[in-house]
Amino acid sequence: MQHAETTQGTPFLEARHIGKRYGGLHAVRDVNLSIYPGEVIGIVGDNGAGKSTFIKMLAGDHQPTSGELLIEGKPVRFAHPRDAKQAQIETIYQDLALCENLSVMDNIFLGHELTRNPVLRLLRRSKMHIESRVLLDDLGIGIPSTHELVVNLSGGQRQATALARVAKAGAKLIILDEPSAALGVRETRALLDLILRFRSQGKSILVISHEMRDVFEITDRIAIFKRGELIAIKRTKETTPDEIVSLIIRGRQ
Amino acid sequence: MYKAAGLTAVLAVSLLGVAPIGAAIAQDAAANPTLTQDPGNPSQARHWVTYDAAAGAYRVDSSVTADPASWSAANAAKAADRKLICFTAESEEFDWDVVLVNPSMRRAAEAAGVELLLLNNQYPSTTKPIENADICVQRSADLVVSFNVFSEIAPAIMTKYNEAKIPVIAMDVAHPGSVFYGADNCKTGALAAQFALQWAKDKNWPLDQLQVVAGVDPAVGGAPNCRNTGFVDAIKAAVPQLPASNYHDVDMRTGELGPVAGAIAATTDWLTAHPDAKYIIATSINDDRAYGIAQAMKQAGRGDSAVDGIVIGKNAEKAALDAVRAGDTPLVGTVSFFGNKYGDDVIPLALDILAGKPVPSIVSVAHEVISKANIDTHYPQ
Amino acid sequence: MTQSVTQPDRNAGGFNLFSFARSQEGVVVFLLVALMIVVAVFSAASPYFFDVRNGMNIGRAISIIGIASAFTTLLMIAGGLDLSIGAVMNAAGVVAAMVLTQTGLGVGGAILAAVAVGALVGWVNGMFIAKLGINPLIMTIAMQFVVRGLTLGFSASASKVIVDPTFLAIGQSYFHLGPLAIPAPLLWMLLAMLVLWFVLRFTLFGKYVYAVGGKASACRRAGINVNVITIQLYMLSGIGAALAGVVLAAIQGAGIPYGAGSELSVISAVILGGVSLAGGVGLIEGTLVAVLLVGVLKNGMTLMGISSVFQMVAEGLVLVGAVTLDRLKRRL
Ligand SMILES: Nc1ncnc2c1ncn2[C@@H]1O[C@H](COP(=O)(O)OP(=O)(O)OP(=O)(O)O)[C@@H](O)[C@H]1O
Ligand SMILES: [Mg+2]
Repeated sequence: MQHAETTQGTPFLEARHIGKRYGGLHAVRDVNLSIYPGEVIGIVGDNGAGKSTFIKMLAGDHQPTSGELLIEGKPVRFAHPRDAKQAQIETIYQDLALCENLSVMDNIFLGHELTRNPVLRLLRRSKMHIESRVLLDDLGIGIPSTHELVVNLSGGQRQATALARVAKAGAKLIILDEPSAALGVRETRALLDLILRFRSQGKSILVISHEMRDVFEITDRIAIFKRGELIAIKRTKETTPDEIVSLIIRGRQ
Repeated sequence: MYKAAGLTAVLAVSLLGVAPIGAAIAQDAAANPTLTQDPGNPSQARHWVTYDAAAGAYRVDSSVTADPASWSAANAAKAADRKLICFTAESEEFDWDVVLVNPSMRRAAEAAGVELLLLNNQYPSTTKPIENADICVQRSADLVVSFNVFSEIAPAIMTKYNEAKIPVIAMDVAHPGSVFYGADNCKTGALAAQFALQWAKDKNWPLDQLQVVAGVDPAVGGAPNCRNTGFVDAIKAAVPQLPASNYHDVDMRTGELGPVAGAIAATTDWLTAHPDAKYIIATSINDDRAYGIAQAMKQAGRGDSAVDGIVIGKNAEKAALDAVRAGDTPLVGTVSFFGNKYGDDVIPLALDILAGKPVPSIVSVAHEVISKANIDTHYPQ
Repeated sequence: MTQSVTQPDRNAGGFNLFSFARSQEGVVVFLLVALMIVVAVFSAASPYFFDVRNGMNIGRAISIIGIASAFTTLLMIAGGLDLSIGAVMNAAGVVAAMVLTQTGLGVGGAILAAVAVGALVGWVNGMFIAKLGINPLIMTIAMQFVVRGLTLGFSASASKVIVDPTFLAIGQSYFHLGPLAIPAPLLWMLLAMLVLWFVLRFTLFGKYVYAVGGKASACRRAGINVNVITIQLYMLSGIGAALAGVVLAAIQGAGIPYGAGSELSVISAVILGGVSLAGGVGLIEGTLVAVLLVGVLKNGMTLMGISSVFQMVAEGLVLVGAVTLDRLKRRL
């Protein structure tokens, strides 16, 4: 691998020469990246650098136009986000992917609803409300009611709802696309703690962020994207914010 | 008077010497009015019937052997309390209904002092006539005049009236167990054919080169379709040497364009496909289509009624009458059955039924081709 | 939809008039009030209006539109649109009549065949719309033409008269409840609405109907098979139209291939009931009250002797009024 670092064992997920074209536009080209269990990788780069496009391919939301993905060493094809979820990959998208006409609880459980009666599949509403409440309290997220419609929530509360959805699903790889963009100070703190907690549970985290302080606090490695390419991967301990910023702006030295 | 109308119809037909069936009826009607075959419904016998209110059905009244002199609408109206007659009109949209039939019903009802509840069957809806039947029943109408043209739903409608024991007069399309009043669709076709053949002879057209065009609408169902098939059958009978390839059914069902523009489009296509066709004799189920056929011929530069062809409409609606009067299109005739006089017949008929008097089970209206020759007599300006 | 009976949430509760007026439940309450006013006006204006038998007439008159709208309400909540409803209704009636008269499959077979036709049309609609991303408006109009043409072709443009008393009973019989004689079609409509109300309110499928209408891409990303749900909803809409067509054929005593299409009445009832064309909101209760409101308006105006020409105008104005209010209330 071109940016190989001394990381041990089989990666949980490996992207090999992954590329994505939108017609004439090469949004992502030839990206190689391995993500190991218990590792937090930060992805940084300018607007339009291809960060979101890259993680959408890992999430099964878009299909790569070139290259391949491996999970625990085996090649996989994600034709639908469902396939990525089955491979234990959960994602918070940049636009959050919430149904605004539904309640906080509905969104937290979307796609994982608790039901009784296998034929009628009746919703277990009160159980889901209670679990949502517990989850939100646990995350230290300030949402007054799980009955509230998402359309009535603030930007931060929406992000918190999306976060709660991911926290609930016990995935091995959690992808977060700018999860703290709309969060307040207290909520950002809670988010960082949550990410660290995930890591201590042996989960892999891929987090896109423009916040250098946060990136340096929680990540093990930092991947820098520029014009669709992964131009460098640095160990967080061995680099500085200045170096990363100059990479983002000037590209490879 | 409807009985007068029935008789004049028969007489007019026989005087014109039209079809042999017409003459047969005239004789039958004179000799034995109790059992006359109706030409439109050959299987159906014409009886004298009286309404049995207790049973909720018409009963054949064999005691009647002649036209009872006592019949008088005025007497019936006086004898009756204020009666409610429910009239489920065909439509409140088309000329035939809006200009001719519906106003005649209103006028006659007012003259006779009966209350008329006019409900719109909203042709071509097949559900409204049934909903309106429910309303007539709920309003406890004394009698219903059902102008529903879909014979297939007539049984469903009659079930409701029979249960409620309400006597029914069916207009233009027969309903089982009701008294029929209206046009004889097949006869209108035969009359149109008669007129067309006379025209062809007058103009010295070669009869074996006629092009017979029928503007058909598969959606209107069997009974009105006889306005076309009656035409075609009469031509076939009169000109047996005319080859089958000279008969043309042109589909003129009402699309988004409406009946007139639809007929123009369909005819234009037909004319394009038959560039050499001359001596066209065309008809359709109503004046809208006939008018459209004539317009298309005129627009194609083939509208000279002396050589290119003619169109005979049905209903004597305003636009067709104007065209006949003007004489500048191939639309030279339209078969009238005097929709503007329907009410004058039907309301007295209804009052006789309500008074328990015997009435014919089938009352045919007068039919006559309106042409330039007689238009000022029937429709003075 | 979101207010469950149990409220484990410590911060839940507290009634807010404005947010209620904006909610989908608020729309239903508003329509109910409008319905009561209209009923009061007609009762005062016509001595024949406020009467059990007239109520039953209204019920029977709205039943066909009601059955079809109930099913397509689900589709429209999910952001779909089906303009092939009227054509499917006619096709189903003709197919049922033909199976009844030309095979030995009986009433059950006739209904099944009709439902199969509706499901098939819905499946084709759903496949093209979900898998190929064809615009629903275009696709279902195209299917309307296809189905109408096939129906006229197969039937040779001739109505198929039905005489089987069991089949006719579907549309023409009554259920006696004490002194009340409830027309069967009304009962079928209420039954359909009850079942679909249950599905929407209590089942996972119902939840997904709202979710897909809210944001289909979010559902897909949550692992939900949106395509399957979309196809199922178009099939349901087709099945609803077919069932309405069966009841209609039984009311008419014939399968009629050329009856006037009623899809626009169906769709405007659903929208009047509070479903937005954008999807995501709506209740079966809303559709029920809307169908009732339109039925009562037409019936009352007929009994008052108001020409059907003005009834059409009134129906249009009611719809315009409803969607205008819907826009205005968002500013609350
Ligand atoms: N669906 C799409 N169709 C066409 N082009 C797209 C599509 N999605 C993204 N792009 C283009 O691909 C490029 C990369 O976009 P992407 O969203 O991955 O950037 P990003 O690094 O996430 O930027 P940001 O920091 O602003 O979120 C951009 O030029 C964008 O316009
Ligand atoms: Mg992005």
